[in-house]
Parts: sequence; C-alpha cells; structure tokens
Amino acid sequence: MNSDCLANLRAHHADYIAFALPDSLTATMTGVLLFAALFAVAAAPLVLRAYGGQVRRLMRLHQIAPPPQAWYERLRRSRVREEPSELRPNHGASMSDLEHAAQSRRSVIKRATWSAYAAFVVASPAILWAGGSVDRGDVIGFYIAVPVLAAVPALVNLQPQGSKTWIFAALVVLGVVLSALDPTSKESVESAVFVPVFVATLYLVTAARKLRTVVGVMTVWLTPTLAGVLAAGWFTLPIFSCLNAQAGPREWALAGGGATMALLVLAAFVYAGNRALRLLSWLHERGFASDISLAAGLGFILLALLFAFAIAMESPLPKWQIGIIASVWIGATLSVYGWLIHRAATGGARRSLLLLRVFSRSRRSERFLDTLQSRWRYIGPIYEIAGPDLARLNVDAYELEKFLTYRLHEAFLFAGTDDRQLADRLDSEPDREGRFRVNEVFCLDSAWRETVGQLMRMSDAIVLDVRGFDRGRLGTEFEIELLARSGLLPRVLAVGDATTDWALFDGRIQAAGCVPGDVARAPIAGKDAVDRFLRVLMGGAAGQSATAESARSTFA
Amino acid sequence: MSRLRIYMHASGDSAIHRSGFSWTAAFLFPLWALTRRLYKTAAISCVVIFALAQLIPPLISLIRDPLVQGIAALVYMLAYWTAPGFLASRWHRHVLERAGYVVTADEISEPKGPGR
Repeated sequence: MNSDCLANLRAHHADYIAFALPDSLTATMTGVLLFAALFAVAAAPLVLRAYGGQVRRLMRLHQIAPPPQAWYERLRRSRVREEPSELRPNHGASMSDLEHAAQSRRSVIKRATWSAYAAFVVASPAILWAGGSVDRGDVIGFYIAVPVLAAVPALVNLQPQGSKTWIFAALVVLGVVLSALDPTSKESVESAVFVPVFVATLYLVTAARKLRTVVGVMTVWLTPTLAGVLAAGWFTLPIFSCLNAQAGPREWALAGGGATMALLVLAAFVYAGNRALRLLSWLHERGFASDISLAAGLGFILLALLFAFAIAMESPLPKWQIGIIASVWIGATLSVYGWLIHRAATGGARRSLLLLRVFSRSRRSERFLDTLQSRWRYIGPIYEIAGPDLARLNVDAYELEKFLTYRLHEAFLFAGTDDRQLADRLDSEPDREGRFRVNEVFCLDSAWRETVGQLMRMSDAIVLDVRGFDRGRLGTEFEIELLARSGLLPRVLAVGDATTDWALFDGRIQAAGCVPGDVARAPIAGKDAVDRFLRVLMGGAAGQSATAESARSTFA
Repeated sequence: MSRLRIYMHASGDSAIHRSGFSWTAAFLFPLWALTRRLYKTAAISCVVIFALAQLIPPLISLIRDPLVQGIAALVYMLAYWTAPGFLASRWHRHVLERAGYVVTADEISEPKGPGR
C-alpha cells in the first residue's frame, strides 16, 4: 500500500465512518425501503404479467413419468400447518350456525382493524412532536392527512374487494386540500412530484387488487438487495480508493479482490432478501397474516415511514431517534391488531365452496368472482382450479416466492393423486384472524380432470360460472358432465347470462343421464345478486335443502 | 419456440428447464446461472467474464490491419453477447442429466386447459 493510498484513506476517513453511524444508517435504510417500494411499484405489472405467462405455460405440461415418492414426502414436510384428518369435516349444522360464525369472524376483523386504525391515529402526534417547531399549516395538514391516509389500509382490510373508487377519490381530494393549505410553499415543486408519487405508491401497495400483493412482496425482497448494493460499495471503497490510474499487477490484484468482495457482500444480502421473502411466505402459510392483512399492514408501515422520513428532514432530533419513534408507532399499531385478533379468535361452523368457471378474462366476470370469494372467506375455504383468469388476481406471498425463486412448478399437481395428497395441498383452516383461504389448485394438463372430480366431492357447495359457455369450452363441458355423473348437481349453483348457451348446458347434463332441472341456475342481475347467491349456496351447503330448491325459493 | 420441461431427481429435488434462447443468460449469465442454482457455473462464469474482458482487447489490439481488427472485434462482441443466450439452456440440460435428473413433465403442443 503506497503513501497516496494511505493519504486518500485518511482524507475520507471521517465521511466513511460517518456513513455507518446510527443517524445516517437510519436515514439510508429508510430511503432504501422507500426506493425499493417505488421500484416494486414500477416492476409489479411486469412481474405479474410474467407470473401469469408462467402459470399458463406450466398448465400445458403433461406428465410423462411419475414423480418419485421423495417428491411427495418433501412436499408434505414443507407444509407448516396441520390439516384435519377428515377430508370433508362437519363443523356445524344449520344455516343460522353458518351465518352466525361468518358474522362473528367479520366482527372480530372489523373491531381489530378499527382499533389498529385508532392506535395509528392517536400515536401519530409523537412523530410530529419529534419534528420540533413545525409551521401551523403543516400541523393542520398532518392532522388531516394521517386519519385520511390511514383509512386506506383499514378499509382494504375490511372490504378487500371493494372501496377502490372511494379510496382513489379520497386520495385525490386529500392531495387538493393539502395543496390548498400551503399554496405558496417553497417546496411546492417537490410536493407536486412527491405527493402524487407517494399517493400512487400507497394506493398500489394496499388498494390495487391485483398489484398489491406483488408490490408488497417485492418491496420486502428488494430492500435487502438494494441495501446490499450500498453495502458492497461501502465495504470495497477503501480497496478501490487505493487504485492508481496506471494498470499494473498490484492494481489488477486489488481490483480483482475488490470485485470479489463486492460480489460476496452482495450475494450475502441477496440471500438475506430471499430469507425475508421466505419469512413472509412462512407467515402467510402459518396463518399469522392473510394476503389482505399483509397488504394492509404494509400500507400502515409505508405511511409511518413516509411521515417519519418527511419529519426527519426538518427535525433537530437525531434521525435514529425518529427511527425508534416510527418503529414504536408501527409496532403499537400492529400489536393492537394482533392482540385483538388473538384474543377474539373464532372457530365455529364452516362450509367449503368450489368455484368452477369458464376461463374468461373479462373484468366483469373477474369482479363478480372476486366479490363472491371475498365474502365466502368468512364462511369457509374456497377451492378452485387455477387458471389464467384468476391466477393473477389470487396470487399470494407463497406463490410469488415460488415464482421469484424459479420454483413455481412445485405448486403444481402433476397427475391425479389420492385424496390425502390433495388435502395436503389445500389449506382448509382459517387464518388466525378468522378469514379462510382461497385455495388455487395448480394442475398440469395431465392432472386437472381427476383433481377437479376430487374437489367436487370434497366441497359442500359448488358455483359454476357459465357466462360465455359455448361449444368451444371443452373443459367446462367435461366438468358439467362429471358433476352430473357424480350425482353432485344438487350442490351446484350455475350462474349465467345472455352469453350462456343453456341448450348446450342442458344437453351435457342429459348426456350424463340426469335431468337438467336438478341444477339450480340463476342470472346475474341486480346489485344484491351476490347476497342472494350466498344465501342459496349457504342453504345448500348447510344441507337445509338442495341448492336447486333453495335457489327456486330465493329467485322466485 | 422454446419448450418447457420439468426434471426430477430421485431425491425429490426438481428443476424447470426451458429450451431455446435466453435473454437473461445473454445479458447476465451469472445471474441466470444463480436462478437455476448452478452455483459452480455462476462462479466460473464470473472468472471467465473477468478474464475475457482483460485478455481479448489486448489480443485484438495486436492485429495490425484495421479492417481485420474491426471484424475480429465485431465477431468477439457478437459471440460475447449471443453465445451465452444460445448455449445456456443446453448447458443447463446437460448439467441436470449428468446429475441424474429425468424429465417428468413435458409441454404438449395442443393446450387443453380446464374451462377452455
């Protein structure tokens, strides 16, 4: 090491060490997290598109040799929740039991969500206090912004399938109000850029139905990776500062060593990112959080960090102290939610629902199925064969982890399997907050026919969405015939509209030797269509009457 | 058109293989190798990329004729960017088969998913 190198190191020694002090480290890590969130927002549509494409391609695969027994054992070992020993357990009797249990689960989530919201709003003055002397206009803006913005994750947790338009409108109104409060601010240009980006990020992390899971998961994955890029630069700075302009053997050795060290540091952080992703997936699998509460939780965290970041810019307090206040703020909010959920955990009656449908990419169809499955999650688990239509809508942390680590095929069934192995793949127990899972069963082309038959037998109620059903829909024709042959038509509610070829539908039932009148059918009409469908399905699932009879009385 | 296959090992481990050109491998070969859990390949490719970047430019500069020098540089650049893209999936398949993995699922030409 020559004297230039030592002089160089001495000159920058203070700056170099300062970067690792708690103050700048807190600011850097918050900045990294926010940048990761922005990057995730930009990349999420592409990732989701690639995910949908991968699912479609895997669905076309055909098993040509049976997987070894070790494959099934490995899958069984990887399960983190025990499933009930019975495949179709009887957890309650009447329809009122079901309604009561669903209502009680909804109430628990509602109470916990609003309590967490209240904790977030009540604790917010602490971060404002940390900001020291703040302008009156900013204080008013803060007290308007916190309750309005915190309502976004709260509403998403309560009504995951709805409220998007209202949320978006409220966010726009808030932006206008905040601008009106401080029209002559020197920071108006920064605000003009920052506020819309911030609002859009919050919307995409929490409210955007398809993107929120992807954005949340990718933020968790990217944060350690981006921190790794910074860490690699920081660790190797002393080495690269010793390089001379003239390339000699010493320079090559230093450059090689520095590059290797940077790669090793980066690899360690990328590994940490993968572990963080695995942890998120594990939390989801264990049932500590559902896809919905994960999005809501990330929304609260993002909000708190953004406020803390903005306050820290002006505050006389050291940034690490503001970091601690923000952490306590976030911790208090999440703890209130977790504690109330834990205290009021509900069991009770439940019934499973199988969602069969014509694969359609129309938004109307998607919205209806999303609303139906979101509401049924308080009643029982939902099973469906994964398809290109709903795969992107129902993507969760586990599936995304598999996709991002290039192991999505592990989520697929290769061929028909026995009931026990299929049950091992399903998650029929509720999350700790009381919501049940949407179980997408991913099947290769060689597996879906047998699997759909097993799911039909395992489910208490079956919705058959036949909108757009016509002669080209061979898969749906197969499903209708299978339902008829298995004697399961009394459990089915067929949902159709003007695009449904009912003659073909009836023809398939007759071809299987059954009477078309055995199956309940209903058009989608009116705002309360989902409510009526749920009543019919619950009546059928509770065994009160055949779904067809229940439908006749409901839709009469 | 690329083709998707799932390989499995008797130990229960599995890997997905996609034939055809890989853009990830063309631009970021070590990253491509890491995503396929080809750790040795990733490490060796880092060394090779580093060595090529140091060795080839001085060698090309030894060529006296500017035209030949230009053609050589062009050929090198083309090979540098396209060879990994074309060879990556073949290498992946070779490594999998050598390690005892067998094809368990293959792509069929006519897609017939449920509800279609």
